[in-house]
Amino acid sequence: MTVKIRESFKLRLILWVIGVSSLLFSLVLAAVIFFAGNEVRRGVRELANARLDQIVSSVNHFIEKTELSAGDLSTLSEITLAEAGSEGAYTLCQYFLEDTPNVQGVAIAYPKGSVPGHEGGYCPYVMRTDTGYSKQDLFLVKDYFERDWYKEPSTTRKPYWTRPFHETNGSVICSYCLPVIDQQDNLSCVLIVDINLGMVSDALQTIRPYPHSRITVVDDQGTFVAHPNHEFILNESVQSLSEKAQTAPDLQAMAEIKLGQRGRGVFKIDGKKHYLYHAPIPHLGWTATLEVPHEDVGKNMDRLFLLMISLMVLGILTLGTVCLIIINRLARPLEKFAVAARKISHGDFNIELPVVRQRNELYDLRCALAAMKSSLDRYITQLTESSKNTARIEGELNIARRIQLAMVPRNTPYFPSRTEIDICGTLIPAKAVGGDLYDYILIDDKFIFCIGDVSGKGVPASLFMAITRSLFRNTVKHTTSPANIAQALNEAISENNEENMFVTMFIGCMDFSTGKFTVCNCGHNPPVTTGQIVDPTTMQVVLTDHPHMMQGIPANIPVGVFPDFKYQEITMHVEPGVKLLLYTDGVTEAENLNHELFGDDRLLQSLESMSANVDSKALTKKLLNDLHQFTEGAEQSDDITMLCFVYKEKDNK
Amino acid sequence: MKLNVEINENGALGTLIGRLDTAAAAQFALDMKPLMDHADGVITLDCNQLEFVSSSGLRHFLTLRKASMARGGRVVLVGVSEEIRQVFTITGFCNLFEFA
Repeated sequence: MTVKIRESFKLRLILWVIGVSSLLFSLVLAAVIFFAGNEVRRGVRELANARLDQIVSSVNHFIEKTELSAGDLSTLSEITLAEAGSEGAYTLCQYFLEDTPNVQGVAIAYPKGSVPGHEGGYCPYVMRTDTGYSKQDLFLVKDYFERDWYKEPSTTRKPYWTRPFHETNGSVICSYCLPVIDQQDNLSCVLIVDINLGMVSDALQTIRPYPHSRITVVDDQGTFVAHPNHEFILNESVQSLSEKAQTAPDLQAMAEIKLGQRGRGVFKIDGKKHYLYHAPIPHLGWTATLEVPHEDVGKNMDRLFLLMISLMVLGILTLGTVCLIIINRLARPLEKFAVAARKISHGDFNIELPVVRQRNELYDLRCALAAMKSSLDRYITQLTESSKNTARIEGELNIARRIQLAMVPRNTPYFPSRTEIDICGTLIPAKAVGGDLYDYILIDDKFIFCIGDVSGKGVPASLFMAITRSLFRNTVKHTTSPANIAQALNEAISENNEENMFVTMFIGCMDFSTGKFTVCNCGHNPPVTTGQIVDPTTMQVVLTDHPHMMQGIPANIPVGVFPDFKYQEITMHVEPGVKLLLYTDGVTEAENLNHELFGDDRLLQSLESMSANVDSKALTKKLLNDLHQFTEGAEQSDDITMLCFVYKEKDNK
Repeated sequence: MKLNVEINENGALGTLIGRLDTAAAAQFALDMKPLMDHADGVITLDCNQLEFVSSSGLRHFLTLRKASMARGGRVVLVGVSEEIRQVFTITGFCNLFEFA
């Protein structure tokens, strides 16, 4: 059980640490991704625009270079024709091609009748091939005078760029046509310089910023003049792709272009984000585009993200491990303390507590445990001592109780030979020993009895009770008059009575030979009587079956109060059948749980409910039973004593 | 059980409140000391709020009575209820005290 709790304590702490650090790391990660993402996007934009500028300048450079080299060629062509004859043109063209690698082919178109031997027309053409160069006279292939590449520059006398067109070998060509004018202002020839747009496209792809970027160029009509897929060149246009976009979404990119403008767009291909940047190539009215898939850009981000996550997981694992080690290190002494505490709880006070060197919380715990250990040791010693004392006192009290109970007559019938006496007494001390007493003795025909209640309870009262009972036994040997007995007891007890203890007593003497009944009440509860009895005040015989409090008895002070007090007694006449119940205030003042007293009324009711010929033993038993029923569950607060005397008809048998 | 003691020109006045049973008797004996010091005069005990007196309690009444008798004083009980008067009557203590 302990282990489980400790485990969960560790686990909970680690979970907390990991949870909180994960949260913090996640926040940092989110912030980094947000700001880094912005940076990356800005970087991409800048890079894309820079590349676009590069593309534009590349194309321009290509064009300019072509135009410049064509210019160089124009001056040479005139000299060549004059010096080297018509065949020299081929040599010039090949020389030119060798010198300008970016040019695919070059032709010199002469006006009709200007070249001797070629009166119909002459157009020597040299083209680069895989193996070397091919030469031909284009006039032999077709009549070129009506073709735009000849007609346009010859009539306007200005350089002319043809629209791109398919060469017979499949490559796409764009030609720069430069008219050469002689000093007489006559057209001497037109130079045609071919550029392979496929080559331009391939050259452009080398400067793409990301592996999956595409660079294209469209002309003023939107037709592709440069595209990584050479089949698109001249065959497809922005417009045609737009129409296909529904079925081939990845072509949509091109459809977004605004011709002749710089701009940026975002679109999706197969659900993947792409950025499209475009810028104009002013010289030709073309537009260059750069397509960047988000995936390529994201790769850097993903790498960063992965790195961060790995670092985070590593960090959290390290934190968890460190926490576990720290907790274990902290918990180890705690486990030792737990073992020590358990041993202490089993009473082993000699156990050595774990040593704590640092003055920290564990040191406090050790001090507290040490203090607890020594205190417990001390308390246990004291407790053992006091338990021993208590046990001894209890043992002594038990003996005292047996001695005290032996002082009062217990056996009934006490006088088997005197059938007219039916007497039964009972004494129940509230504590081990008590201050109540009763006694009776038969001297000749005189039966003397008493009941008494010492003020107070417990051991002091019990000592006083023992004295009183012994004095009573001694005194009755000398006198049978209750008043004289009371006086003798009073004198003996009052002497040196520093504690002002006293005994309330009721003493009676029944003379069976005469029927005279003499009583002396020393501050005690009056007895309850039933049967024929002479009222002492009126000397009239009272016949009653109802139990009632005996009245008219002179009140004397309790025994032991004032040594010189004169006690008074009264004598009456009783007939057999009289019942007399003597009791102490423990009966009438017995309380139930509601703090109600048993009282005189309940006492009389209880007696009333009994049959007329009930004997003393049954009477006390029944009364005690009623009393216990009344006090049900309440603690007995005072000694309970009863003495029942029934004067019976003498049995002569 | 509570005992309030007031000393005035005529003597001492003790007001008893509650139940004077065996358990309270020991404390009552200590609280009673100032009354004992004035045993040469009139000691008045106000019993209006006294609910119960046990035999141990009566013993302390007796102690007070004996002390005042020895030094020529008096003990007067006032406001004694019927139940408590019964106790004094039964025990014969009514002979020893003045009731007012």
